[in-house]
Amino acid sequence: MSGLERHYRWLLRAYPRAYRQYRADEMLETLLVAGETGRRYPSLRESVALVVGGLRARTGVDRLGSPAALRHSALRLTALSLIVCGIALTATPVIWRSWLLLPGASPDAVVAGSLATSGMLLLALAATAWARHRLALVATIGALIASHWRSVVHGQWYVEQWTGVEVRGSRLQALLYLTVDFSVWAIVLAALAMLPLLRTRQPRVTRPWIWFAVTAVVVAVVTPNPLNGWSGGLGQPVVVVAWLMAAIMGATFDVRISVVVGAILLVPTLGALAHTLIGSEAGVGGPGNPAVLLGIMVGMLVTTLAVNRVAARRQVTL
Amino acid sequence: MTKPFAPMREPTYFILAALQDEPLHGYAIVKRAQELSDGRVRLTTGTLYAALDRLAGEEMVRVAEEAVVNGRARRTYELTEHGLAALRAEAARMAAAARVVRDRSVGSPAVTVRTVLA
Repeated sequence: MSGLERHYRWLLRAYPRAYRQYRADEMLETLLVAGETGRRYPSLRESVALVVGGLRARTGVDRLGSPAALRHSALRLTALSLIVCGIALTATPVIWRSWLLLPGASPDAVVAGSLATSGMLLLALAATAWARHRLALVATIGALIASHWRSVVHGQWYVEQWTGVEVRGSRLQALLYLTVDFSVWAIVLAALAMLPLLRTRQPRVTRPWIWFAVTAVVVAVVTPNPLNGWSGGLGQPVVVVAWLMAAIMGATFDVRISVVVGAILLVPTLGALAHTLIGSEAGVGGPGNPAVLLGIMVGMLVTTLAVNRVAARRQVTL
Repeated sequence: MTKPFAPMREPTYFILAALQDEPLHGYAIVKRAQELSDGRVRLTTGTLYAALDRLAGEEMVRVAEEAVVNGRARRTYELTEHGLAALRAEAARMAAAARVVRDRSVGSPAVTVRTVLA
């Protein structure tokens, strides 16, 4: 086996095993015949094409076949990702109360919030993962009601996490204050993403349980919990790097990645926008200059949308 | 009523065009597409097989023959009736687009005005 063949075989590992079993020999034959005589290493152009092709085969985007199938798949992934986002943003009360059940844990702080919200969102996650979109929509709307009906009815703006101090106002103000809450936007956007899915035929789903593993990892990193010393969340540099990576991956091999990231970015963008519009009136403070942060988020969102537009056309057209 | 064919990207068009005359294997498709496009379309192997997979999924091409060469599988691909219809539809679309410019007479108002101003 020549050095060139060894390099090509290594690059072909980018493709999934089943695809390699069917196609690798044939591709290798073409690569070796097409390769320039005396060349020891694959060209950069060919290497990139093999890696991108392999990743596309792994994500399955190249099997979607039509713009409608791509749209359906992107919406489903967006709804699932937003529900995971919603669970991560509302899971603190569940984690805190579970933590209190452990021996030696003392209730020296208050974590407000409804346990029903996380339960309903988990049900919505399972229903969406198994393509039961009607049930998922009902559970998502249920989660929104469970998390906020009490605060709106009692004119409660918010409860200070850890101290339990309640800030109250009128019902209208409480309703307006909901728009500052990121979890509200995650749930509302998830419900909106589900709406078009109701009209489409439910395709066969593969590995739906994986979404529970994804949720566990996201909650472990983002939600305050004993594993991260009750200081969850992602720093701004992490968010920017993750967005940049997602935009590049979306542009090169799977536009669904940048669609999902765009939808997730919309959550803090809308929250920050509401904060800018009504937050100062409500006396809500936050780190950094809200207008600058909002500008950065809108810029990231617009760039993601532009990437999506170009990439979707390129990746779906025959 | 038959569904109209969606516009194709240039590499896809030349892959189908390469298969018009006879069934070809992977490398022969790459060479033929390059010849037909005057060197403009230089397909990489990764791009070629991704396109062939999609075209086979759309039933525009199919495997005509499988052989073993140098101990490795070599498949030969051929155009289907559906693929040939899609190729002709794309050619007609491009010809119609070209006519818009080509059939414009030299003495048309815009050209005349520009000539006078110059």
